Amino acid sequence: MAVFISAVGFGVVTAAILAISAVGFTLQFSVTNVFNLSFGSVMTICGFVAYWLNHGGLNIWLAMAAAAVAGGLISLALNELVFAPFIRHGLNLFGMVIITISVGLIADHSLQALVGPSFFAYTARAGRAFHFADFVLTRQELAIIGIALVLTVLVQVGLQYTRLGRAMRGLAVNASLARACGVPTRRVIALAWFVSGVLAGVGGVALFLDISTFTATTGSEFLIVIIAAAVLGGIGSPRGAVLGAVVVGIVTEVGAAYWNPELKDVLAFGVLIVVLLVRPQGLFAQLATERALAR
Amino acid sequence: MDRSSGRKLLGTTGMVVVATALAACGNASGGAGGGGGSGGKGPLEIAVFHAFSGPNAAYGPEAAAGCYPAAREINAAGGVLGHKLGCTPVDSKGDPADAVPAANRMIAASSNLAGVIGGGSNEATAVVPLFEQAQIPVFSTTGQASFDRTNDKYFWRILSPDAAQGSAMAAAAKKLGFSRAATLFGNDVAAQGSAPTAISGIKRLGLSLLASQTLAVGQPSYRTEAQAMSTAKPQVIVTEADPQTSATYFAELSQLGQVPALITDPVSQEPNWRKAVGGAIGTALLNKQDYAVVAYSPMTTPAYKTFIAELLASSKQVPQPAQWEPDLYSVADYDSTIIMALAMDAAHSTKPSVYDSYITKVTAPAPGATMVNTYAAGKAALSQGKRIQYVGAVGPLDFNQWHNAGNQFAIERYSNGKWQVSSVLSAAEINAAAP
Repeated sequence: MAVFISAVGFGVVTAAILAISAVGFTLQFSVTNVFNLSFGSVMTICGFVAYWLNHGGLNIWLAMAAAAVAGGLISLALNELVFAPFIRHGLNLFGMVIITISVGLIADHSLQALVGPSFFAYTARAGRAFHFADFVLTRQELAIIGIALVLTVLVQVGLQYTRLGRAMRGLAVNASLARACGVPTRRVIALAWFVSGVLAGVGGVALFLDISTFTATTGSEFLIVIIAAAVLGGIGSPRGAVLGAVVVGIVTEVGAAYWNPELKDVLAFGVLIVVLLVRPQGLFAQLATERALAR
Repeated sequence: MDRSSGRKLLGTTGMVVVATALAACGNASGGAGGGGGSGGKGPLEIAVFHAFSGPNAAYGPEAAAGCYPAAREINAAGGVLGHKLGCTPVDSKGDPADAVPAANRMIAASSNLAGVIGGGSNEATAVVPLFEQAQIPVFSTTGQASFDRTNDKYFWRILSPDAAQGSAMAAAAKKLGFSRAATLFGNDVAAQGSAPTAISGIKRLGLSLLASQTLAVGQPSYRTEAQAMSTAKPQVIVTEADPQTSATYFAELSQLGQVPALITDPVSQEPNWRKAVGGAIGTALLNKQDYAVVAYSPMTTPAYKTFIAELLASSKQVPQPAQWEPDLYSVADYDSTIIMALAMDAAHSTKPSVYDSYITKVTAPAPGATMVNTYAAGKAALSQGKRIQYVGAVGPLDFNQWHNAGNQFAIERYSNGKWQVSSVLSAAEINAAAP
């Protein structure tokens, strides 16, 4: 029982990190229908923004906030300058995926050329360790869990109770109808990209804090797990992304405790496949219908 | 098809053709035509075939840090049979899917390709057969067991295979007086080479194996595994894993209490590994706990001193050259390049299929052979008709029938800014651990 409790406890930390990023990924997809595979690269760039600020003397949490703003601006710029023009020219869904992959590769390789193939770490201490039942969490890990909770609740509250949030949900369901009803679709789409980028920034810094060191390609390497969490929960559903992150986080740690630590990814993706077989839309989302790219 | 569609198709086709041509030019290593060796007096190329991008992007510069100093030394002594020698980085990206096309392009496009240093553990199995087929000598640092008794004529390995490394790590644990050990290896090809013999060696030597973990590399968390290790309370962890995995794991282990002594391998001497793990748990703690078991190379030999001098003078091609001074892989690649050049001189031919059989003739101990430590000395002795034995920066190299050289092993500690030999493992100590 002690082993199970400690595995669940550790899984919560992983879930928190995945949740921040998965919500960002899925929120932007729900509004724009662009499957953005450069999301991991944006996480990495933001991680480095925080690194440069942190090594310039800024506290890591303030650096994370700055990285979040940077992430929002980068995502906004990517949409305005790269993705939106392609959409306006009539590029289809598959073509957009290729464009996002290209952007991600360009970003990763450019960043690697700039910073070199080295490893980097923040000057941030893990802090005091707190014992909970049979597991230990540090102050830093508790802070990450807290940030994840606050951000995911804020996103959910924003989507439910604000005008722009309702507009986003409307756009996610039917972009043409939303436009016809007077929803300022361009502004809503821009906001979705911005919020997604903010979450990418926070998620990137949280991930890099958690794994202690990072390179110019680390964000992209973790993207597949983030997507798995988002898809498991129901792609396009922020609540689902949180649940998906919790499932992936806990299943991998419990699997490592009871079965074979080598097979963490096998477990995570095995669960994903089983869930999708039973419920193809994921845990939360309604059954997806063919949607066009939002303009 | 109307006119505008036709123009679009023509434009698209044209762009595809241009892009394909650019891609072919971008990855090719100069020249046209096939095979290696040069009919004229054009420069010879030694391809540095490693990852220069992607997750393993540190391996390429590491190997280049061996080739460029050697090329500088060779060219300063007048080159090889009138040819200048150059190093050409070729990006394998560290995985077979990218390495195979890169190798094929390199072989097809290079008329002056004289030899290859490269083929790391991730791609060696895929690309070594290609070099074999093209009859181009390749000096590889892969430690995979599949090359321990290879029949490949053009494959050469200077450093000991992973299996011997694993036995040496177990022997080191015994020699250092530990009785309760654990093992921790990444599940990638490179790390798994030494895991079986390390584990069996620990058991064979009578140590208690309290935990034996294999980590899925590149995970965001190893807390559960670190908890299990912390609970087992070993005195020492025998380990090899890539920098990222090691840093994440040991950071989480240190948060749970204490990082015990670590017995590592040459990977831990790479600047990236030390930077990653030192950044995670603190450089002071890492230096205090780490015992690196490495192929024994008395870093005071004339050849090593020459390597250092040439390395530091190669700062235009090798950024921050001093970081590679203690890196055994860079040192081995330096020796590899020198050996290929001396073999060409001995064979009076730059044709790879001809000089390949002269590699053992310039390295094996033989009665009456003149011992040389530099390319210039070797070239001079060969020009006088003498037989030579090149004793390089990694020490004497005696290739067996499977083209494996092998080394002694030593335990090294990092102190006062450099690696120092703490003790040397005898053949008897290693054999006691070996299967």
